[in-house]
Amino acid sequence: MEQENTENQDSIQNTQLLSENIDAQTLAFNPENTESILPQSSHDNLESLDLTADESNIDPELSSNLQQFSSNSYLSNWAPLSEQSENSLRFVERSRGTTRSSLIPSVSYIARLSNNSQIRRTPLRLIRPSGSNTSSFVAGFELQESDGHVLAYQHNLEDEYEDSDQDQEDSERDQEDSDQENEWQIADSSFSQAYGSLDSEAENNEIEKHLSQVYTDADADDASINLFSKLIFPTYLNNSHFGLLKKSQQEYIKAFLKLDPIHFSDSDYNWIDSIFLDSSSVSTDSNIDIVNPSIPQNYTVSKKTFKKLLEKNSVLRKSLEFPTHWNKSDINKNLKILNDMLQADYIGSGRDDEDSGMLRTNWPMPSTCGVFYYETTIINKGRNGYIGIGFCSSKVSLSRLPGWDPDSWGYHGDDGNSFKSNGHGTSYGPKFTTGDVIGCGMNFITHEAFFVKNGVFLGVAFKDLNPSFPLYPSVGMRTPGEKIKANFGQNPFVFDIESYIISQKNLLWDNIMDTSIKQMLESSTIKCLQTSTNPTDISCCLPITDVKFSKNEMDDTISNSLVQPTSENNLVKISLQDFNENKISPKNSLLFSLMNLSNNNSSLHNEYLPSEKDTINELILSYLIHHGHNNTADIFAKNVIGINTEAAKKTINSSKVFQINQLLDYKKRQVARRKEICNLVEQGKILDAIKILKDNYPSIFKNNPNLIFSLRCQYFVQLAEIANSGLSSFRNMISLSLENTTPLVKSNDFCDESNVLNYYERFGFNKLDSDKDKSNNSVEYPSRSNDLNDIEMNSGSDYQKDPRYDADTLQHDVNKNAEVDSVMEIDDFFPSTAISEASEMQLENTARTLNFQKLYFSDTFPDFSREYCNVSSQQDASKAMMCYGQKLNSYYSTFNDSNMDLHLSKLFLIFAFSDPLNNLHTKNLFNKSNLYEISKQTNSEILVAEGNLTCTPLETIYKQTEFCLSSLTEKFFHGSTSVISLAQKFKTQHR
Amino acid sequence: MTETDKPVLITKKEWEKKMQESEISTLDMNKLIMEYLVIEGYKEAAENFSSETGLAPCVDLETIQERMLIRNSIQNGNIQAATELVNELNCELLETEPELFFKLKQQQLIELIREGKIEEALEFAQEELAVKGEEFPELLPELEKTMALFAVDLNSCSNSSPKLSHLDSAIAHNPDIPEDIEQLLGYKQRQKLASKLNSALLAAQNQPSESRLPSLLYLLVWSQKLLQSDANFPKIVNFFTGDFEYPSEPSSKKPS
Repeated sequence: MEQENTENQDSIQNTQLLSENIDAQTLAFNPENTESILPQSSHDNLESLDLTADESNIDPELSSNLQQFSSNSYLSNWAPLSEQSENSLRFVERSRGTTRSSLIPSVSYIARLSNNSQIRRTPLRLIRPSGSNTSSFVAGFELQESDGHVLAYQHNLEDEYEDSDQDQEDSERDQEDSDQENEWQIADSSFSQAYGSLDSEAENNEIEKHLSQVYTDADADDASINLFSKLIFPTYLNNSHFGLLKKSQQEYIKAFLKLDPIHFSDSDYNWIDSIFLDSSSVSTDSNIDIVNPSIPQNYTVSKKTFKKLLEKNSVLRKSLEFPTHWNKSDINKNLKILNDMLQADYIGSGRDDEDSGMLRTNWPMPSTCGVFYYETTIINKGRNGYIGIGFCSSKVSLSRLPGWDPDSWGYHGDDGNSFKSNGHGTSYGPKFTTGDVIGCGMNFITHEAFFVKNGVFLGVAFKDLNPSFPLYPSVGMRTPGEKIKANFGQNPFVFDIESYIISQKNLLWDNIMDTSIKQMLESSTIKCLQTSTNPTDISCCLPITDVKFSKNEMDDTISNSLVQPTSENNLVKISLQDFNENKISPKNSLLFSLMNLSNNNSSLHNEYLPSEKDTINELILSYLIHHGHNNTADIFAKNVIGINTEAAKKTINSSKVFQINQLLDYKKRQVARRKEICNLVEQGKILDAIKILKDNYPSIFKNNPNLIFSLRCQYFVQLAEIANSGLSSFRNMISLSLENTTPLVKSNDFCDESNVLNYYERFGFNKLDSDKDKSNNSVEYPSRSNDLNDIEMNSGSDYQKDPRYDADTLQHDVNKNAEVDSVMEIDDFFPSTAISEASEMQLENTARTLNFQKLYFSDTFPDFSREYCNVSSQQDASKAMMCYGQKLNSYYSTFNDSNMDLHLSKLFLIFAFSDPLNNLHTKNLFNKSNLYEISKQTNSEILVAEGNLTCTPLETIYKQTEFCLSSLTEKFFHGSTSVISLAQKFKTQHR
Repeated sequence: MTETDKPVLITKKEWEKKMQESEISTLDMNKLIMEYLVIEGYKEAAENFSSETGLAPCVDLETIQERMLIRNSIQNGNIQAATELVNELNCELLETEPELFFKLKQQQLIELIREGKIEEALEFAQEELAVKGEEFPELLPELEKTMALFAVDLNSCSNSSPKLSHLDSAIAHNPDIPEDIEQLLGYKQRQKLASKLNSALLAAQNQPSESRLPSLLYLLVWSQKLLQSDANFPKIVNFFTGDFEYPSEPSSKKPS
């Protein structure tokens, strides 16, 4: 109990603000008060919930609006808090690995929640117990505001105490991702990933295996083990996947041990602290291989406690599966292990080879450590010094020396020979004797093993070591008096293993960089060319390559390949067509590949392959464009071309630049349009957004009706808001959502063609084109519109085959008047579809090649009926709202989508209340953050519709590489990949 | 490699999950790109990128220009000019890096031979290169290789004037000339030197001397190849588009 109190004291000083939105109105935290309001709960009473609302010590003025919560109990018991007040506060806490067993450590939180409605985001304060620099818990809060909106906060307490790399990454992420909820999810997913559950039987077996390494079955629960040997962390491991895994668990163990007050006294805490702090601090000093040697090496922990520790998570268990000492149950009777579990003496008779004795370690060498290394000191060479050092499988007989039998390898002291699975040695190194320190290393990167004598590298002893079974370090002795002592990292190594690993890593990188990517480049190029052989699609070409020849050769090459006369006419045709069809995207058109090679591409790729740099250039350009860095993209493209061609060929230059400009222009407009739509949504100009979406991205209507549905619901909400709000805000709304919009949405302007065209020009559509398309198609309009209702029920593919929509039949010349008339006519039957359909017409022709017909004909929702577009007063707004609501209901009920129905019924609750804006049930519908959400969705949908991948090829390549590496390491335990960390190489770090 | 050799199938679903977990922040990616732009010398692009992303370039952009001039001089075969420029930019560099200095001289000799100025080349070799070779014995093998060029009938190399062989494997390899000696005449030799010098200049400015992005391509190919022997999984088959090829799932029968 004493300890609890000091914790509280300390925690006050460690007060930490979670929310970034601390409001000035919030009370300052008063440290002196804390003690009284903190829970006095004990660990035995974890089920209980401590909720103290102590108002007496707080500024009286605000005390009524303030509640303080604190708890150190289960998460599940925090839930009831939400019912305590109107400003319900729900805590969600997770500690790594403990959710399953639902043990929450004694971390105390105090949260202050102001009832003041002005303070929307309620600041929370997190208080940690003393010594909290050892905590590794992810603490999270979900703050449920009175309007039902849930804000999630999470904070990783580990942040400040992890090594600097981690810190950096975390803060980076914070910067990047200010969206708290999102961050919460990130934390969540990594959590479940890392601590996925095992079925309990397997889990028990695993734990038993761990325990059996140390205890015999007969041992009582309070039998002790030396924890020290379990926790060693040789710093050479820092370079590998296994090391990172182990490191990630150190904090955890430390925290766990802190939580077990039954077994640990104050001094123990300090000791545990030192072991962990040391393990992380030595990582910066490559010369020290182990934790601070000054710590007591006879530290013990009970079987019960150890078992508890192991139960926590499987990652922890994995991280402990590392040879740390000899296995006292895996030893020949001629040998004896001393209490330190490191020294072994020969106690047999030593008459002949039958009296040999061998022993193995507690765990095999993990291949994901990249390189495993241990040292053996020859304390005494005994009678003959027949000592063998090496490794073997778990099956090898223990009455042998390492290397004599199949599946075992060793280096022997009496002759200095190496033995590879048979009794005949190969001359390898010097003999070794009393006082020598022999190192044995297993290199899982190169599948080689080596030995070291007194810090001197003796060279590779065994090659092609890639057995399917695990290998255990092992030492064998044969004559009386022989004594050895192993060092698995408990003490500093004589050999500079870290430098060795770094050199191995560099070699590996050289190896990787020697990989031939030529084949990949070739196939990529051919793939791009293949796409372009499709006669309808001529926009695909070979990427231009880094021109790297002298001028003479430039001429040759260019005449051969590059500048096959790309006629300007042809070019313009391509671009216009492509632009209108939304066809140019990183997927089918390479940016540096504007050369039209469709005529002579077959001979091309043989002689003219893009280089690695061309590829990177290409990838960077698509990245720049994708992320809207237009100027950079522009200049980069010119830079690349300019530098490569020098002044060699002005003509190519200009035509290339011209093409790139065209493409960039198009891209820019695309980006601008996307941004415009998203802005419109964010500002609440929903109809405008729908309009542009419909005109430019009809596929969205087909592929994601939910998005359109959300948009329309949002519009309904806005109408409701206008209808239910005062006139002033109504004016505001109107001007926002209607008056300022394009002429299209104003009533009676529907048929004014100049408006339509202006509109299109505004968004990058070519007037000529739309004119042409319109006249081409509009004659079909009435009949098709009628068909629509039938067709909607059919599947899109049938529809596509309908001969009426064959391109040829549509190519009738029709005069414009007829078109306008027809539009007007239909307006009577389909009051709402008129203008939207008309505009869809214009897209129809261009979209045909992309099979868009089925996409946008399926949406017949009357978006622009004057009944609700033309809102000029509050009454109008209510009417419009009614009308729009009915339309929504009747239209979307045909979708038979339960989610939609659910949302609609929620939506129509608005009708039920006199003041829906403030009513508890409908309030959150009017939340402005909804707009932001929808806008985000819209953005990603547009990207998809544009044919852009949601991430650029460059990012895809990164992700795929990471996928391959982690699969190789985690699934197939490759030694080589486990020393390559993408994050270390490519993510921000101190260089 | 047949299907049976790949016991493990990584399904599309599993793969997608992994891909979603993997993440590189925009900031990190931007930094990588900035590094590439700077190191490869796209000065204007770097400037613009800096202003568009708010990312400070990691180096004084003015020095890019100078580095690029040097690089271009070497790539055009004008070694003398390059050497002078290097000395202007960093007068100590060639003194502290004798190997680099030797390489420059070597290239200069190669260019002389290429131009057919055999006498001038001989004189140059004796005066400049031989001295270096004596001073640094480790450079001798390289010197020998270079001198072998004198023994080669360059006219047999290609039609009349020895051209740069710019392709990885020269289309018409002359069997009379050892490959490693022929390589000296190649364009790659110039490129190598240019890169080396570029790296050295960057290192002298305490800059990372190699951009990291290209290694990503190699790492991708390498790791996909390695994983291929263990598993069937969706592979990137097109660098430029990031398109994938998916393995056939067990349910669907597809000839491999």
